[in-house]
Amino acid sequence: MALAGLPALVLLHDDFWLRDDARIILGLPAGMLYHVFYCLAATGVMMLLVFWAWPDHLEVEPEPEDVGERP
Amino acid sequence: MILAILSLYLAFVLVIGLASHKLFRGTGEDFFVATRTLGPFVLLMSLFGTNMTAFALLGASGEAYRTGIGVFGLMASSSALVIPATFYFVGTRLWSLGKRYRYVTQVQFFRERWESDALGLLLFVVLVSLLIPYVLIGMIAGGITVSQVTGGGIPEWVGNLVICVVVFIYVFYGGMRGTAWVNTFQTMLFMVFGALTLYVVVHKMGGLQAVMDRVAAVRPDLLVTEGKVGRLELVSYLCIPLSVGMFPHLFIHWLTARRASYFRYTITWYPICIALVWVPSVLLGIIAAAEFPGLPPAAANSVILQLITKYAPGALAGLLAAGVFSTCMNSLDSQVLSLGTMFTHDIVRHYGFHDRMTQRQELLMGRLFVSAILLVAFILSLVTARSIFRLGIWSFSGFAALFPVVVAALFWKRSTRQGAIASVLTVAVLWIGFFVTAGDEQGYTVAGTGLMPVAVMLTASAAAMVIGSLMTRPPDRAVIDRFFEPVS
Repeated sequence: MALAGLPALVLLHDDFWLRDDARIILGLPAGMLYHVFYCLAATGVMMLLVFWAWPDHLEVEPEPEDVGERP
Repeated sequence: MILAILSLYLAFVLVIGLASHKLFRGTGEDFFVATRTLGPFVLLMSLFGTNMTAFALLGASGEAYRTGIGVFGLMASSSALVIPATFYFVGTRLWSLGKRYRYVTQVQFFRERWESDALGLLLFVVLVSLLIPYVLIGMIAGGITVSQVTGGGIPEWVGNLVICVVVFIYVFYGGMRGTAWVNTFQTMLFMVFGALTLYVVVHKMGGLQAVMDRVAAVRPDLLVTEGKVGRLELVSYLCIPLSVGMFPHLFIHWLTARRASYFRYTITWYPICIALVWVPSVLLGIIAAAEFPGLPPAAANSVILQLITKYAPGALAGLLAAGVFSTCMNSLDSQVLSLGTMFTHDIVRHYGFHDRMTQRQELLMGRLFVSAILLVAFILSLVTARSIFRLGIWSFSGFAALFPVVVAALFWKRSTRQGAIASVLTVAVLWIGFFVTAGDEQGYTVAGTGLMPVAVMLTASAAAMVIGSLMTRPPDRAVIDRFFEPVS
């Protein structure tokens, strides 16, 4: 579910229906406002990934002290 | 007044960098990756600041001046999706392997992953060559800033030199910890000052609606993407932020995290941070197009500074110029440090001392390389004329085209060293070909189709990886177990 948000956002990146829309909405050009909301939507999808699909198996416990260089 | 404020700001940056030296443990690992102990907030701010740079403020506003709001969709919102997703899929895995096997450079990882010195050396040459134009962005932007805010009283080369000296001092003494602390401070600074600049300029011009009405009257073409940004160009630009998967300076920043879970904050908040920086930058670019029409491409890179000089004189201009200055140094420090790290570990330590360098020798070597790289970058900045944005795009395109290499290393057990070498060589040959063909042409696309060169390079790179790997003997079981067991 969370991962499905990524291809959806890829498809939604092309705002072809706003390409020649010069209206000013909320003080911003329509095409730019769309991409600001797109950034907010990206945050939402990232939140879903982080909370529901976090790769816990990658965790490596921190060393209590500096363990020095790799051999 | 402006110079006094800029001087105070630079002095404060130096104090932060030197203060970090108190925590310095005197080891190479502490100098290069802060002993992998940074917390979530510093990780977010330093990763974001390192990646944004002068490109986001000066370069983007210059491009918005020329092509309008389309630049936001091209670079900002595409980055808001692709960069955190790359951190999620690639960054966390590289952090895990880096922590487990004590890597400090990408080349160490790729060399061991495919058991190939030749691949390591090839990657080293390609990565360093691609990083140099990116290093120049910060330096050139610093020179423009100083020259602009002093009305040309101080030449650009002096600004370049000042940036070099300040970065040299805090990187030399503070290493990665100093760099991350300074980046955190500077990132907060330019996020605030970008918004402040927009507010002051718009307020002085009569409010946002009045400003937009003026842009609509003078340059209505900048309020739409039709005729300015092609659909194929927009789609292929999605490939460019993949460059973060192969940036050497982001790799070492990833390694600084104390825990994998600290990436959660970066991944979640990154798109918001992008919007906070790019909205003011792009709006100021189109406002400047209505205010200062007809500027040549090189002058377009300083339109924010021209707006500041006109609408926010005095102390505020100094503060805002400091904000721009911060973006210039934010990436330069990390890039220089990563280059120093690579020269020390991938060349001197690996070939000269065969992994038998003492901590003191390693530290000395790293600092010497940082000094030498800054000197070379300063000299190059004096003779480079291309616009900041174009320099950035070529650098990003090369790194993005190498993305299949890191994806194969992390996710494809069947990939081989021959496939990886074929992939890197394909990128090198195509990059040189496109770069020479494009010359100084603004908005170059492949054969005028609207397709960005990065899309072709990325596809060819992936194909070379697959074909090269399938045509050669699979890697040994022991290697697969070493690199896939911990993360599978």
